[in-house]
Amino acid sequence: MLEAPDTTVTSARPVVAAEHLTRLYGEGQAQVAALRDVEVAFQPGTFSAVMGPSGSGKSTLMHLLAGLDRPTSGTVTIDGVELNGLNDKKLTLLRRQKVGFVFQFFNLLPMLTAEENITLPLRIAGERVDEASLRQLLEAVGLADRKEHRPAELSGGQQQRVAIARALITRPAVIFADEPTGNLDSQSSREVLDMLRRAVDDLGQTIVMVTHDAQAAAVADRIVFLEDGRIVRDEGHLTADQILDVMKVLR
Amino acid sequence: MTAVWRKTLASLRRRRLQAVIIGLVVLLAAGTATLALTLLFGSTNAYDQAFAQQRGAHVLQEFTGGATTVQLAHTARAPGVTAAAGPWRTDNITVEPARVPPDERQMVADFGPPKLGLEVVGRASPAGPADDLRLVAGHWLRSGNQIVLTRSFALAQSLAVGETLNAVVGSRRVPLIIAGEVIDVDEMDAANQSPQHAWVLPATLPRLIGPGDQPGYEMAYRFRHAATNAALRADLVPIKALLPAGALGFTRSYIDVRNNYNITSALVLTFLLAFSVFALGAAALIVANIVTGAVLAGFRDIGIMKAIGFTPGQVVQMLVLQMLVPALIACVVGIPLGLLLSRPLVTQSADALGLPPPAALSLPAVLLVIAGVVTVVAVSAALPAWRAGRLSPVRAIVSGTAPQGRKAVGLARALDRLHLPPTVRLGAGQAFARPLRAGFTAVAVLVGVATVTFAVGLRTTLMHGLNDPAFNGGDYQIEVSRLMQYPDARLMHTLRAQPQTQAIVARDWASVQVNGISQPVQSVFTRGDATKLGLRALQGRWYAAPGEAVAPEAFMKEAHLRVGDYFTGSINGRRLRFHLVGMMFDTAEFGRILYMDFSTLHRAMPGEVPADYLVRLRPRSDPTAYAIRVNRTSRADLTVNIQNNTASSVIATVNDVVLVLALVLAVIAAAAVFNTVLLNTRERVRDTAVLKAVGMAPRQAILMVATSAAILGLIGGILGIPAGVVLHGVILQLMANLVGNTISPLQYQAFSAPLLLGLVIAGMLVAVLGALLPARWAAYTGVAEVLHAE
Repeated sequence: MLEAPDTTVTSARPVVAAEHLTRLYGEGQAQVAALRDVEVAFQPGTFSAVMGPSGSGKSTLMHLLAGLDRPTSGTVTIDGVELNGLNDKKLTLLRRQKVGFVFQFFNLLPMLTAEENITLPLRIAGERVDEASLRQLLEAVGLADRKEHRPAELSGGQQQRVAIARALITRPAVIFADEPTGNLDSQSSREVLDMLRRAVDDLGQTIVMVTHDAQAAAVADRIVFLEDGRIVRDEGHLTADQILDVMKVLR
Repeated sequence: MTAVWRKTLASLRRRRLQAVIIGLVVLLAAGTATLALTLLFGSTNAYDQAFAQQRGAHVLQEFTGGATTVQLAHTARAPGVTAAAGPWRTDNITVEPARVPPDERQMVADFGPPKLGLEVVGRASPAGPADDLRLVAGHWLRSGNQIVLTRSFALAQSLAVGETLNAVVGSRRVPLIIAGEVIDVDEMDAANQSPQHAWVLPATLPRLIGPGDQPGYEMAYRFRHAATNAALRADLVPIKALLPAGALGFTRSYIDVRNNYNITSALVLTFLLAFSVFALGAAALIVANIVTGAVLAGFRDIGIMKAIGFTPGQVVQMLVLQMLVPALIACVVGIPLGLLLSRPLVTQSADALGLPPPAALSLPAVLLVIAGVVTVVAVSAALPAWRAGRLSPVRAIVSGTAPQGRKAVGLARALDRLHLPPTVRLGAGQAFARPLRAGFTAVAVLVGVATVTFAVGLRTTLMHGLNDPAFNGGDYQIEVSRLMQYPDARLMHTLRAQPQTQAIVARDWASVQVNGISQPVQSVFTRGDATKLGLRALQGRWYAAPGEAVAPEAFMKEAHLRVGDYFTGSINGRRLRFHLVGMMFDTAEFGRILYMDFSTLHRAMPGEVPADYLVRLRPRSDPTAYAIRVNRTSRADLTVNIQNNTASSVIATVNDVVLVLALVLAVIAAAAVFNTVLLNTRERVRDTAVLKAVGMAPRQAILMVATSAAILGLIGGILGIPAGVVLHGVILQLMANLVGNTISPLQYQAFSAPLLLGLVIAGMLVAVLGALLPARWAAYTGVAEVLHAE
């Protein structure tokens, strides 16, 4: 399997940390707070889930943590680098090196093959693709025989596995997964969750997953519950039933 | 307001930019189409209308003195003749205006009064069964000391009714007062035909015949069959049979006159029509492109509209209306603009024919343009809109985005293998992601590049032609003509004595009756080496011996001759054998002309001396000083003209029109690229967001989008250039044919490799410029905003 990312060895400090994170949308009367004063940190080699009802601020939190959006106030630190001071270009370079993404709608590029989609982050960065580790990765996600296929020729589960491989190839400090099972049937969902779990257990990968699927959250080591832009509960591992109980209270 | 209208207007407000692009392109298309059609309806009508009103003669035929008036009167009853007028006595005379305009006093002091040539006709009445003269100023002849001129001659010489012209008769001067001005539909404009006709009472004419003149007769005929010049030649055969041999002189065909009136507008018209078709086609491509894009982008919208009860027909209606509204607004601006621009050209031809200026608004033209625009826009919008109309609402709402048909296009796959940087490869992929749209865009660029190539080439060729003596009648600065009584030898002595003289070529004209051709051919005989004036054969060689001749294509075609052939004919009734040794370029008589050496003329007319003298001066000589010196030797008998090489107005007009239209199409091409890239980037906003999420920098995003445009620009450019070069060849050949000549590709070498390369690069640059704005939007759209929409 792949070597563990550097971050797991180097520090006990969190891979991603947010302090006093607030994000407001709109102005004046129409102003809405998507996040209010959120404090959260994720340790290396952990699999965390962020849960909450619709409009609770899950996606906003993820976008801020990943440096895709800028907070109204507060700070985000990824692998020791504070994002506030970075311009667009530096932010892009940081994402290249330290962040991976898995999206609900896979978001693969339709004109590229599975293999090309996977190696895209490396090639955009102008880095060489190591054939051996690519082969290993393709096998790990079970797509060795499908690498020449284009996304349209793959099932939803297969597409999401391509997306996971794309996130893993740069060995990022953290992978953000936004509803990775939201668009999949239960069989494919299980395969995808299993793969994410193995990335954490076998590779020491850090994963932060936004979801409202209790089955998915039950795979995580830790579950952070959001409501109205605030963290309302922060739990360790829970079963799917326990999670549903918490969610009922929140709703 | 209906729901369809309400939704249409709302969508238009949201897609302002696209509405502006459609508006701009349709405006340009509607403007050129209006201009072209107004001209088409206006100018062809003008001549035919005047010709019908004045019972214009199909043929104005001159006769030499050999025929009698009785014989000539008989020809009016020849088979095929429906009406005839004449015979009228004619003579070529020289006149001097008595009045000297203040600004020409110095010139008259230096050169003496200007000498003007006229072909004077003895005619009692302006009316008649054929060739009515339309009086536009003054009155018809009332006494023997009056003369009537064509208006175009009076205009060209700034002469007015009431002024006096002195006819030069030997050493005497016969004063003639200008009684009136007429328009003669059987005569070309004074700029294109010299001498012009002028009329005196029949009793006056004999008083104007000087020593050495060769007076003749003229008749005007209308024929039953007169559609082509060939028919007219056939019509003349029975007339010729009624007369003694050699009686038939110069023939003036109404077809040539009509061509001459229409040649500028005919050329401009050809271009305008072609361009408006191009522009409308480009508008169709862009509209189809935008509607397809709007359908894809508004996929979810359309699903919702259908879910709340819009019928498929209403959806189509709405999308078509969205395109028609800006198109019709563009017509409101474009059509008046086209009408305005057509004004000078239309009134010019009506004015030249003495017709009242045509109505400002040509209703058929306007209706045709509106119908054309509506049809093109509606059809090109309805086709893709129909797809949206049939869309399943559930699928549209659930998936939120249009299904993306992905077929690997061969070209994109080929690019894959070139190991290009990933951003460039992604751009290439984008370029062909929608093959139809890519095709439309490449065609728009192709048309733009082709017309710019054509325009640049045409300019170069025409300018080259204007500077090459072989194409503009020879390189000489001074033209001297003498009255009959002034000896040739004395003039030659004077000219040779001038140190600035480099070459003298003397000329005379005579008609040659060529066997197999019914009409005599006007021929030029040169004494002295004509090649010293830069005249040369484009094929074969210049003549060097008696009996050798060169001619333009029109003559060669009519006589079925090729370079190297021998033919027989007669000059002044004397049979001669000729050898066609070369083909030349000359637009005189629409290419129906022969050039030969003076020695050939001497075989038939031994005593003949040249009529005028062309002088090429040594470099850096002062033509004015030279002309004054020569003129002083005999002011009464010599006319000295300084040749100024100004570009022909036809060429200048054509050049300007072509250049403007090429720029219009270049703008349309840029708009098409802009539109395509805009649609592509809007459609791919999510792909771009993903790319940015996985680490693509803004600069890379711009490079990617610019690449997609540059590839389309490159393809359009590479295909557009040969298209433009071919078009250039075809149009030049067409232009040369119109004036009875041919140009081989070697003669119009207008394109150099660096120029063509530059044009390809220009095509790419236009495409990239059109792409930059949308590319920047793509590069700086927030990733979170886009992904949030999920």
